Amino acid sequence: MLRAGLAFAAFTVLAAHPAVADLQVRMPEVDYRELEFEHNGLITFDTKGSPLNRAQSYTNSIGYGVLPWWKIELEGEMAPGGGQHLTWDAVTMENTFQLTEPGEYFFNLGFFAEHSQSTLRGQPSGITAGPIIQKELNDVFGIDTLHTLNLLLDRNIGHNATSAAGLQVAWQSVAQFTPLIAPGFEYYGIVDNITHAGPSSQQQHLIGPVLTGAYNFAPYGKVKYEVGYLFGLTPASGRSAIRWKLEYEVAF
Amino acid sequence: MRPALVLLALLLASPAAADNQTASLTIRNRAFEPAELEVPAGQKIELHVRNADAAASEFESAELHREKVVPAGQEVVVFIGPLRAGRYEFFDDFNPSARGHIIAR
Repeated sequence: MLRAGLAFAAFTVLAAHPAVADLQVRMPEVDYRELEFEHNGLITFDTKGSPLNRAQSYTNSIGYGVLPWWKIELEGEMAPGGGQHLTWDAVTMENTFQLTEPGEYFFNLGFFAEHSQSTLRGQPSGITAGPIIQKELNDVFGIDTLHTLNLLLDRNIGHNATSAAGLQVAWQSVAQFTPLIAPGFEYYGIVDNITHAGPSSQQQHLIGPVLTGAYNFAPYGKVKYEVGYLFGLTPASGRSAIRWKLEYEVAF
Repeated sequence: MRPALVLLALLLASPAAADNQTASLTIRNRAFEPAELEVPAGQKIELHVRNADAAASEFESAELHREKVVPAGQEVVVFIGPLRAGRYEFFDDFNPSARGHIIAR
C-alpha cells in the first residue's frame, strides 16, 4: 500500500515536472572574475500520450566568479505548465565552491548548493546541495580525459513540501581531443525519495553520448557548448532526451 | 562506507606535490618572462606565476586545460601535467597578445 502510494506520488511529481533542464554536469572549478551567461535546454521523448513526450524545459542564467573559490548564478527556469505551455516556474540561486586547486590533489573537489524559489502558487521550492568530484586522467592512449561526478541531495521546502530527500547523480567523461571537440558520454540518475527509492522502474536513469567544447575569442570572451543525446533506461525516464548547453564567458 | 572515506582522505592528503617539479613565470610589462619555459615530460609541474604588473592578468591555456587569474603584484600556483613531450601554448586572457609556450621534453 505504502509502495503504491509512493509510486503514485512519484508519478504525480513526474507528471507535474516531466522534464528537468537541470540535466547537466556541474564542474568544480570557479572562473574568478568571469561573467557568464548560460542557456540549458532539454526535450524528452516518449510514447504518444505520455507527459514526457516532447516535454521541454529551459534554464537561462547569469553568473559571476566573485572570489577565486566562489561562483554565484541567478537562474530562471522554464517548464511546461498545466496546459503543457512553457511558463517560468522557478528562480534559482546557485553557488559553486571550488575546494581544491585543479590538478593539485588526486581529485579536484567542489561543492554545489542552490535554492530554487518556485514562482507558481502552491508549488514547493527546493534546495539542492552536494559534492562535485573530478578526475583528470592525462595521456590515456595519448588523449587527455576528464571525468566528473555530481552527487547532489535535494529537498522540497515551503508550501506543500514533502519530507522526502531526493538524489541526483550526474556523471560525465570526455576525451579532450581538442579544446573545440571533446566527445564522451554522460549518465543521469534521479531518485525522488532516497529512503523509499522504490523499484528502479520508478526512478529516472538516462545515459548517452555527449559532445562538448569551447572556443576562445580572447579578449572578447569564450563560448562553450555541450550537446547530448540520452537514452532512458527506465519507464519513468522516457524513451530518450536531447539536451544542450550554451555558455558565453567573459572577464569582467 | 568507512574504508571508502579513509581511502578518500588518504588520496586527498597525498598531494602530488610530493614529487612535483616547480617552474616559474613572471608577467611583466604585459608579457611573459620567459616566453618559452622548458619542463620535464611525464611529471606533474607546480607552476608559479607572478604578476609584476599593476593590472590583473589571467594565465590561460586550452591545451593545458587551465585558467587562473593572477591579481596585480601577486603570485598564484597552477598545477599542470604530467605532460607528453611537446609544445603547449599559454596566453594572458586579459591581454591575448601576451603569449608563450611550455615545452615538455
